[in-house]
Amino acid sequence: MFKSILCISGLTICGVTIMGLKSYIAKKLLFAAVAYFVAITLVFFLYHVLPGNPANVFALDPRVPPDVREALLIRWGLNEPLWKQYFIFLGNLLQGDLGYSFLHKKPVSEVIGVSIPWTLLLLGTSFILNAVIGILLGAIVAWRRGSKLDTGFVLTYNVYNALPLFFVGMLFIALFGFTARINNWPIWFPTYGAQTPGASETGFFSYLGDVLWHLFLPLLVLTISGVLGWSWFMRGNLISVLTEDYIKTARAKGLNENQVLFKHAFRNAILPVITNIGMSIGGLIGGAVLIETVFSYPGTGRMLYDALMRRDYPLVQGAFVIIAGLTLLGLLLAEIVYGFVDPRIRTE
Amino acid sequence: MNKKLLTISAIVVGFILAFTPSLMVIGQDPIYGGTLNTPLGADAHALNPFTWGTTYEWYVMAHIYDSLVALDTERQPVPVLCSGWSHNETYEQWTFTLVDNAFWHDGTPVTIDDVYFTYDLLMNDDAIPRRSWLFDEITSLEIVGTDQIVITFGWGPKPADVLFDLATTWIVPEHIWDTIDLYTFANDVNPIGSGPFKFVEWARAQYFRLAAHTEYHLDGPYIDEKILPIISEVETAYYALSVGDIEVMANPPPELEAVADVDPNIAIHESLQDYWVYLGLNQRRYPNNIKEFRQAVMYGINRSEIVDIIRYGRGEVCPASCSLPYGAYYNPAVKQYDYNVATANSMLDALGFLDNVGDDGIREDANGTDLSFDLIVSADAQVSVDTCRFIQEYMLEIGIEVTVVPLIWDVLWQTVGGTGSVSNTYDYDWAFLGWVGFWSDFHPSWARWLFSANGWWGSDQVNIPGWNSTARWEVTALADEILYETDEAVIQTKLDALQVIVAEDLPYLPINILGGTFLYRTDEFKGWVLGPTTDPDNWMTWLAIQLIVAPEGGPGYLALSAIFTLVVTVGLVKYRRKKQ
Repeated sequence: MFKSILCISGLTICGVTIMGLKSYIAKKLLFAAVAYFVAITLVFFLYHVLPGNPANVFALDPRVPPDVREALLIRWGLNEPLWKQYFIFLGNLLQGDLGYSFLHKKPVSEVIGVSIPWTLLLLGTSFILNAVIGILLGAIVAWRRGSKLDTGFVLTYNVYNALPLFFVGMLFIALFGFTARINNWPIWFPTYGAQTPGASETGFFSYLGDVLWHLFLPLLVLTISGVLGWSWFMRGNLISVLTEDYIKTARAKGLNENQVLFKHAFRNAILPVITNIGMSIGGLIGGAVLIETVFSYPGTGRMLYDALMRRDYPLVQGAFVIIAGLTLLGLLLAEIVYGFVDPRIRTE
Repeated sequence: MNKKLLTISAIVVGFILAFTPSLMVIGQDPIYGGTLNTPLGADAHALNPFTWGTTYEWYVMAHIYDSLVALDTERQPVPVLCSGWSHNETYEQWTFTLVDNAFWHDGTPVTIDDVYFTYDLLMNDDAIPRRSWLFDEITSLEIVGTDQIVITFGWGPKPADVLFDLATTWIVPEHIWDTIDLYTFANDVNPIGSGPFKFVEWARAQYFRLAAHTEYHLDGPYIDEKILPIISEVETAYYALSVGDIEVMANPPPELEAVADVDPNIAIHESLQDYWVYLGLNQRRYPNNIKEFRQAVMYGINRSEIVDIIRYGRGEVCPASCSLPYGAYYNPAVKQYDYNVATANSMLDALGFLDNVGDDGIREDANGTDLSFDLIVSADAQVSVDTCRFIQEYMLEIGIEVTVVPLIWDVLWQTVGGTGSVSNTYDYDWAFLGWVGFWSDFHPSWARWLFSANGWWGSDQVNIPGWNSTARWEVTALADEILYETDEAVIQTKLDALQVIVAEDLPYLPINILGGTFLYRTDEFKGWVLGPTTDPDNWMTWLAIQLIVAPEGGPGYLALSAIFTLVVTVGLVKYRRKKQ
């Protein structure tokens, strides 16, 4: 085991293994590049063939005649053949230009740049909490399978899972934002937004407190859901691993329970979790549309939904370029970590 | 000594009290200060007066920019940036005089050159999206003296048309807009207007902060600040209203409206909108092209029930003439189509549409084909889908089978011909749609927009319902005559006649006019200006609204000082007496 780890960490004592890992990574990189190209091409064409166009935002105004809408489409370059638009898009992308949002009248990178920090704050925090707490909780309940803790966990998971996330959000708003306030509970939370208007002018710590205060409810809803989901996943994996023969062998060898759990079972059970973590990275940028909407929280999810509905092609494409890129990057990293964690990958 | 002390203290107390706003009699003098919070349902994209896309953008800019005139809550024109206007007898030449005390938010005076610049821009660039049709009809613009602009039209549009369209045309500062490309200008950093509020901050997808324009040339605003938080969920907005985070909200969920009804600090205002929905029977297809068939369908729809149940009693049944029932141009003496299944059935019987084949309850036409229609509707609007389901049930009662087909909006609009392009298919039986923005009670020219074959929406290129009976040409002639008519009595007569024809021939089957329900708090601010077709949060409210109680701080401190002075004086007097 240690030998393997040394090999992949770059030591030359086992050159053959290093070459195996290198070719493994190279292969994964190539697949990722191809997948990325296919993904952005699909997004471009599928979205463009949908009926409608960005000038439809004026469609119901009797004072905006069709020739004006047509002129806008020409101005935006949407009268060009689709293949030409595609190559312009690719050409710009190669130069690092994500395009120009028709509706926001700003570069796509600027539009996304405004909402990304809020999304990362909400989803990034939630993601870390979900992964850490979720994996640990999952391991604990799996290890104590059949206990009261496990039963309680299963029950909670099923109940919470049966409730739509937006409903839970509304419930929390009604309880901790509205009822708490009208009944003068000692603590209550804002029902909308990410900050109090003008809070940024009140000093750093005061502003930070205000932002965290606004963050609490949406984060709580997302984290409860995420922790339960990750725990459930981890619990299932670990329960499955614990029935494997090599666990019995480990126990038969006289290893103590901690060694069995952390050295043998946990390590194997976490492999699919790593893949999931990798896949979730793209979702951090995609945002949580429902939660952002329920809590009126600024984020890329709401921005992207609005852009999708209004056919702001460059903005949608730009966002998907980032999301697809990050998803693939996450997957790639997961695959590489797999290579480190699972010796079979390297030997294959 | 005691007398002297008391007199001095009384003067001091009186002086302080006299200048303490919190103790003034409410209604005597304006109270300045306070922040009014009025929510937006979604974020804006850019703040460009020439290319704005959504009503959210329009709403924000309405605080920042002014036009020459505005419409009050009764939709009557009132001067804003102009001190008055006049026109010649034929309405071809209009003169507007600019006020002499208006300033842009950067401190520069508003000049007649700014007005000329804005109108000239709109006159010479017909690709600007948010541009009135009026600018196509202008033949010349001329500045007279230092404060007048003369607009000359090729013919004489009616005052309502001119003033309405100028009321929706904001004036922009030439010194900012003359060097930029208006098509790409987001105007989101520091938009400079001359309106009652200055732009302070836009936290994207969170809120707008606007400060009162202290140099505003009209009275008001009395409040210091207006915050427009972006609240996507109507339930969340209701909670925010209930706890006092916002002061007004639109269309609360009906169950929460009932809760608000018992809150003494929340008032309810109901209004009608310029938005009516209709059932469009594609008259390019048989039997939709038969007038009596359309009438029978109209009799078979319980429109009152739709308003009561689907719309929770908000709004009202739309007259068959498609004319809004609250203005001067409404003709109440047109044919009504009160729900009557018996009439509908007998009309269908008379047309020969009977259930001869099988016993399925569905009538057949002369060819033996079932009266079975697809009804397309926007899947984005659940309330519209619900209405269609009701229509489906009503139609079954009169032997017509309807299948509701929800479609995404863009597909629906292209199918019915709304885009006016060659890609339109007109491949539909029935469609459920709506019209907004015609203001039939206000514009004598409204019918031309909608019905005239020479107008855009009634033209062959669009003509969503495929209306092509002789009545269409009668209405076209009347609508065109009204456009050029200047005698108000003649206009009224022709509009009355036009409404009778429309109600009889039913190019559209109007269902209901949408209504708005607004909740607004009355415990903190007074001066809400309400109208039959406006919400409490309108331009006139922004100028008129005032705090009920003066803000804490200065005034509270003054009042406290007065009381303290009084107590100390009385104490001193008592002490002196005791000592003596």
